[in-house]
Amino acid sequence: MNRLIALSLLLLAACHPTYGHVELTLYSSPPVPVRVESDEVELPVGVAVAIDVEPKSGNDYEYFKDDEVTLDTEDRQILRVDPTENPRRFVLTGVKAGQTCVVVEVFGEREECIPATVLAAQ
Amino acid sequence: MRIHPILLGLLWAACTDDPADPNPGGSGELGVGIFTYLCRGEGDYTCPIGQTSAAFPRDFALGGKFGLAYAWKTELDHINEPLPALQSAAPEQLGLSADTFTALAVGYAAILAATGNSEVVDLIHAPIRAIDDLRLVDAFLLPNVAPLTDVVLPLSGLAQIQLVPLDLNDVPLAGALEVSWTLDSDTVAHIAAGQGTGRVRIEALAAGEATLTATLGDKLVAIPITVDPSLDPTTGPTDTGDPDTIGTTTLTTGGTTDDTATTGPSTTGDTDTTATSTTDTSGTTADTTGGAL
Repeated sequence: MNRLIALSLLLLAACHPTYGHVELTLYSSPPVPVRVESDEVELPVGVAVAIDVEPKSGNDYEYFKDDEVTLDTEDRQILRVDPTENPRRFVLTGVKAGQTCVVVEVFGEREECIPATVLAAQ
Repeated sequence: MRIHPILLGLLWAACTDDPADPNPGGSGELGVGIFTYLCRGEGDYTCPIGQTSAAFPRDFALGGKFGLAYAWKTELDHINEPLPALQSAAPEQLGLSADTFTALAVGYAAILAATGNSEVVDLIHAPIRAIDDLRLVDAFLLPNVAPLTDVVLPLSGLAQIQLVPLDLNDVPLAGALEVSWTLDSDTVAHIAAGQGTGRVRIEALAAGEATLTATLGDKLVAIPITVDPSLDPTTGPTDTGDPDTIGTTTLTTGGTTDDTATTGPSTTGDTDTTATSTTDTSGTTADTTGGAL
């Protein structure tokens, strides 16, 4: 019986997506060019940009649209990350020139931290 | 050929929006609401006489103070929802004290509209520019910012002169600034109101000529004022539009009535050929904000 339960749990776990990366897409149009990619974020001080977030699985099982994804910042003095009413949309704002990273959490688990650079005002 | 009204409307919108203005009409960049500009005190050219609000300006003056209001684009989508609070996303670029923003550094400054649970519902960028030049205009003609070349008043005549800060491309910059005004003759005319703001009221006292000078940081601009007793105070050539005006004022501008602030860079007037506009190079300070910083 125990073996059966363990096997079932294993199969259930195997059917879940495993985190691969996150796709970031610009939703708003900032007044100056910014770089928002899966592996790098770069924007000037004072510029805010709304982005849409989509986690991509590293296996054959994709995430559902309502699977919980959150973005946060490691240093709010340099980069702000604010949620919006859309759970998959966030606003990134350059606060002060410097470097930090954008924390990606899926189902409450920290998956990665995307390097972020805030440039001096343009 | 018959043009569909919707197509006509779209064409009109395409033709009237300033391509250099990222937020025509103050529309939020997330499309949820409208940001409206609020003038703080007297003297911000953005608000003509008698007005306290205006459309979201294209550019903001370094050191300028202003307020903002936010309204939903579609009230029906937000019934019983409180309006979001406005906050500066980068306090080093744009300070916020009570309900007044202060432009602190050149560049862009995002303003976020956020709900009580810290969700951002909308945002807009305020482009902050350094003040490169100053212009004096007839305050009664705002938002027309054609430069004034001279002011001629009858005895007891009144004029309202507005200072307009300009960026490197002669684009007017929004924001209340601390401006110092001087008249080199206190017998010909005097400053009746507005000292310390961007807009002054000048009252003619006696026949003669005087020079009105406005100083903002290390920049100044001057204009001749002539008081001519021969001018008929009741049937003069110019209607100032101000019911409080006593007598007649002749304010000569260097531009046409199309020289409005909303059209961006001036194409009809040249400040160098009209009012005196100079930069005091004797000082060592780089503060062009009128001391607001």
